[in-house]
Amino acid sequence: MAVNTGGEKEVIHQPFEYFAPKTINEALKLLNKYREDAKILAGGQSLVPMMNLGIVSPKYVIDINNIGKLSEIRENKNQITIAPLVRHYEIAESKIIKRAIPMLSEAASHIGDMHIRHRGTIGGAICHADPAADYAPVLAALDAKLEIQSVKRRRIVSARNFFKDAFTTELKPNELLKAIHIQKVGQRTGTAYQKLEFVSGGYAVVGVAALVALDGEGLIEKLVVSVGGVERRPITIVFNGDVLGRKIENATIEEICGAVKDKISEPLSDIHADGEYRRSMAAVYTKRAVLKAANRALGGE
Amino acid sequence: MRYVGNRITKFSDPPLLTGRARYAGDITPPGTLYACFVRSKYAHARIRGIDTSRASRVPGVRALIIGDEFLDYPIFQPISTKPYKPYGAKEATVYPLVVGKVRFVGEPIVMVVAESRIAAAEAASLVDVDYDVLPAVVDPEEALKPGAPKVYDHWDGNLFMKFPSEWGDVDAAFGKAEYTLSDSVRIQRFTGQALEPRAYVADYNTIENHLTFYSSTQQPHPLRTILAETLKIPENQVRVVQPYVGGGFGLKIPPFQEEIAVAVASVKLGRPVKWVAERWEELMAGGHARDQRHYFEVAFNSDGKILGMKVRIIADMGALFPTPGWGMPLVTTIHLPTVYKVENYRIELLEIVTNKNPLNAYRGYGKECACFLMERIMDMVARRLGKDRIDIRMKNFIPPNDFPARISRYTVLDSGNYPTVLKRAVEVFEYEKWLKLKEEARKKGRYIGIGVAYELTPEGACIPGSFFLQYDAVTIKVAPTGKVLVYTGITSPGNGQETAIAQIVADNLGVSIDDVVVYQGDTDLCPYGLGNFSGRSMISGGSAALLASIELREKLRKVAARILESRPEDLEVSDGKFYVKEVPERQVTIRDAAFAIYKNPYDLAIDVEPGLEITKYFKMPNALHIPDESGYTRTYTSFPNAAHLCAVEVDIETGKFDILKYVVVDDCGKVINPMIVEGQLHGGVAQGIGGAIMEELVYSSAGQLLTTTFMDYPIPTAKEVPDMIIEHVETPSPYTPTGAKGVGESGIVGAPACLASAVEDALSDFGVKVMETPLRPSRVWRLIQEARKK
Repeated sequence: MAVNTGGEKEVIHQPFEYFAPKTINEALKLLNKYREDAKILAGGQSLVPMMNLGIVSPKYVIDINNIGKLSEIRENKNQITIAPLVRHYEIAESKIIKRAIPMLSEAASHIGDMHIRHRGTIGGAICHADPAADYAPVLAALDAKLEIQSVKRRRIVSARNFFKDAFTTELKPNELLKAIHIQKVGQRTGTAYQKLEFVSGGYAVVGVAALVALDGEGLIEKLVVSVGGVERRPITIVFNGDVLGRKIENATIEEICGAVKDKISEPLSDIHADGEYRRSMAAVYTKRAVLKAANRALGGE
Repeated sequence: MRYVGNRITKFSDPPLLTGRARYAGDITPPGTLYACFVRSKYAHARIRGIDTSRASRVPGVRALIIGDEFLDYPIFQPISTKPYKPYGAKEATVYPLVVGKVRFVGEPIVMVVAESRIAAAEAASLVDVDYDVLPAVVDPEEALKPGAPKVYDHWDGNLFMKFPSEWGDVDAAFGKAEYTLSDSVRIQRFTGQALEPRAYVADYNTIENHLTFYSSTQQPHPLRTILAETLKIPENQVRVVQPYVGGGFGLKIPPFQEEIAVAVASVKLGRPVKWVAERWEELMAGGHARDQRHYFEVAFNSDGKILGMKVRIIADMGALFPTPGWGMPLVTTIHLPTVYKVENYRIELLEIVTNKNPLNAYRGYGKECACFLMERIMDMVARRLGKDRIDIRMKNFIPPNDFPARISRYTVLDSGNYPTVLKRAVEVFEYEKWLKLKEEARKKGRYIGIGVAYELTPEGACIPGSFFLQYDAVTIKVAPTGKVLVYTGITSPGNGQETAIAQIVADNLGVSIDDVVVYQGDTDLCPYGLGNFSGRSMISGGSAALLASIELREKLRKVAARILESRPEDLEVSDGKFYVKEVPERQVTIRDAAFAIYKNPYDLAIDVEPGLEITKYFKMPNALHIPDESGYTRTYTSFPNAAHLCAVEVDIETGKFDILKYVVVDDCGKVINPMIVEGQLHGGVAQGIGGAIMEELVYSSAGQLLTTTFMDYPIPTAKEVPDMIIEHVETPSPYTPTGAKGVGESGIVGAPACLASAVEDALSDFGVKVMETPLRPSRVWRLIQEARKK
C-alpha cells in the first residue's frame, strides 16, 4: 500500500510500503527479505515522529501490532516474561510487575505523557535505544534476558550487552525482539529507578536504576547500579567486595557514588545539560536510587 | 449592570473545547494546491544558483518559484522605520522569497506548489541550491566590531539604530548618591508557540480578479491592505477571512513572507493555494523574541531611594522582517523605569542585526525585559542595604496621587495604585508566614525562597504612521425581532473578546446576552479595524461597542417613549424592556420598539431615521503624536500592572526547583469578565514560567538553530504550571468609557522576574546572583557550584 494518494492528510513525506503480518513467522520473513530497508512499527512513538521529520525514511514498514502473541505479560515461579508489544501503561500498572520488580513499573510510569504510555511499547523503546530512555538502565540492572528471533535462529542476549551505542543495539536487521525475561528479585531485595527530567514527561537527563539486596543484618549482599542518559549506552556497575558486606551509610553511599562518577568518561552534553552536570547528577541520582532501593529491601516504600 | 463584571462563559468555549472550531488549516477549496518552502541551510550565504530540474520531475508539481520571480512583490510594510531615521534607523526591503543572499537559517528560498502536500515536500527535498557560504554574525556585540560580516551589504555596519531615552540630571544624581552598584542582566532568545501553526489559504478567482484569503492572522483588515498593496489588486477585490485562531501572542501579526508568497502563487496559478507551517518552521522562521542584554549602573541612598540609573541595552534583532519585532526593545526603553519614580536616568538602546531569525512581536513585547531589569535592581538594592524587598519597592513606587505620571519623553502612565496592589498581594500570599517558613526550612537544610516582582504592562500601543494604533470600530445591527448582530474590527485569537464585547453590548443596549451574536475576522462583514495586539480589544473595541450600543439604545428609547406615550428621559431600560421609571408596569419590549422602527416609520417611529444599524469608531484620547511644547509624545495608552509573589523550593543538589505558591494581584482597571481576565493571567504566567525556566532558542557559532523541536525547545506542561491565586484591584482607566485597561500581556511580564527573585532568595546563603534566564536546573546548579567556590 503506497500512501502517496494526493491531498493533504499525510505528513510523512516519503512514500513507503506497509505490511501488517498476523504471525511472527510472517513478520520474520518480511524482515529477512527487506532487512535494512525495513522498520518494525510497534507503538510508533519514535518511528512515526522520525518519519514525520524525515530523519528516517524506511521503504518498508512492518507493523507487528496484529500479532496477538506479542502483547502478553506472563509470570512463573521465578521469572516474568514480557512480550515486546506490552504498552508502557500496562507495565506501569501491572500488579505482577509492581510486586515483583517495582522499578520497572516506576520507569514505565515516567515515560512521556499518558498518550505516549498508552501507545508506546517496551520492545519499541528498547530497540530504539535512545540513550536517555528509561528502560535500558532498569533492564541492565536486572540483567534481563532478551529473546531474539530471526527466521533461522533464536538467541538470548543479556540487556547488559544489548545496548551497543546510542540508537544501536545487538539486533541484526533480520532479527525481531520476541520476549524479555526477567528474574524476580529475591527476598530482602529492593529496586528503585530515579530520574531527573527537566520537563515532566521529558527524556531522562539522568536515570538511575538500583538493585540492592541486604542480608539479615542489613548489610549489602548485592548491589547493581545502572545509569542511563549520561553516556551513549547505559553504564552498569555490579559492585563487588569493596562495598558488599557494608552498611548503607554515608561513607558507603559516597563510595558508591564515587565509583559511578569514575566510570563515566564520555558524558553526553547538550544545550540543556553539559557533561559535568550530567556526571554530577549521575552521582546524586545514584544516591537517591540506592537509598530508595535499600529502604524497599527493608520492606519500606 | 448585569453582564459586565461577571463570569460569563466564553461563546467560543463549546467549539474550541469540542474540537469543532474551524481553523484556516481546515479550509480546502476545490482544486487546492499545496505549498512547501525550501529553506536556507545556512545562516549567511549568497545564492549562486538554484537547480529545480530534479524537483520538477516529481509528479503533481505545478510550480517551482524562486525569489527573482517575486521581485514585483516587495512586501508592503505596515510599520515604517522612517520616524526613527533621526536615530539612524535603516530600511530593508523584504521579498516573499530570498533574493540574492540568505540572512538566517530557515529563510524561504524556493516555493514549491503541487497537487498534494507530499508531492510538494518531496519536490522541495530535490531542489538543489548552490550556496556561496559567507561568515555569519551571531553575537550582537561581535556584530558591532570593525570587520564583522555585514548582514546588509549596503549598510555601513550592523547597527540598525541607536535610541536614547534620558530624563533629569543623571550625572548630578550619581554625584550625590551614597551608593552605586553596577551589573548586567540578560534575557535569552525565546518565543511563543501557538498550538495552531501559521496557516494560509489563498483562493484567487481569475475571472473576477478577486482574492479570498483565509489566514491564521491577528489583523484581517491590515492584512487586506497589505495584500492589496503588495499584489496590486484593488482593495475592494480582496477579502480576508480569519477563522478560529489557535493562539496568536503577537506572532501572527501580518505580513509574513509565506503569507504573501501563498497569495501571489494563487494569483499566478489561478488555483487555490494552501500552506500550513510545520512546528520546526515555526521555531526556525516564525519570528523570535527577547534576546536583550542590559548593562546598568544604579545610584541610591541608604534609605533605599533610587536616585538615578544608567542603562545600555544591546538588542539582538536577527535579520529584518516586515513584522514589528524591531519595536520590542524600543518598548523596553521607553517604559523604564516602569512603576518606580527614578527621576534621573540615561538609557541607550542599540538595536543590532545578526544572522538569526528576525525578532517578531511576542506577548510581553519588551515589557518583561524592562520589568526584569527593574526588579533585579530592586532586589539588589534591598540586599545591599539589608532591607526588606517589599519595603524597597514601596519606597520607590510612583505615588497614587502622581497620576497621570510622565516617566519618559514618550510615556505618560494613565493611572495606578501600586502600593495598594502590592499590599494586597503581600496579604494574599501570607508574606510574613512564608518568611518564617523559609527560616524554619533553612534550619532543616531545605532551600525555600520568596520571589517578589511588580510588573508594568503598557498596553494599547499607538505607533504613528502604522497599523498599530488605538482606534477601532463596532457595527451593531438590531433586527426587527430585537435580535442583535455585532461586527467588530477587533479579533479574538482564542481568548474570548467576542464574549466581553457581547457583555458590553447586552448591558448598554439593555438586552439579554443570549440575543447577541458577535462576528469577527471577515473583512467583507466587519468594519475596518486593527484586530488583536497590545491588549487592545477592550481598550478600543470594548469602548466602540459601548458607544454604538448607547447610540442605538437612545434611538430605541425615542420610539419606546412614543409607544408608551412618555418622555424618553423618563424611561429605564433593562432585561430587554423599556419601562416608565415611576410606573414600571408601563413597559414595552426592545423587540416591539425595534419592530416599530422597521414597520412604523410614518407613525410610531416618525421622528427617527429608519433602520437600526450603526458603526461607531472609538479613538483613545491619550495618545499624542504631535509633540507638545517640550517635544514630548505619548505612545502607549493603557497601563495595567500587577504584583507577583511566589515561593519556590530549590533542590540544591540538582538545581531544580518547584513552585510552592504563586500569587498575582492584578490591576487592569475595570474588569469586564473576571474569568477571561484570569484566563489571560494563567496563560501569561505559564508562558512567563516557560521563558524563565526552560525555553531558549540556541544558535551555534555558525548560526545554525539547535532548537527545532519541542524536545530541544521544551515548553511548560500542566505539571510545571502551579495553581495560581489571582485577585484584582480596580483602578479604572480615565480614558476608556468602560474604565477597562488592557490585560492580554499581563502575567508574562512579571513571572520571569518573580521566579528569578525567588531562586536568588532561596540561595541567599550561597550569595548567588540571578541575572540571566532561563533558570534551567543545570544553570542554577552551576550558580551554586560557582558561589561555593568563592
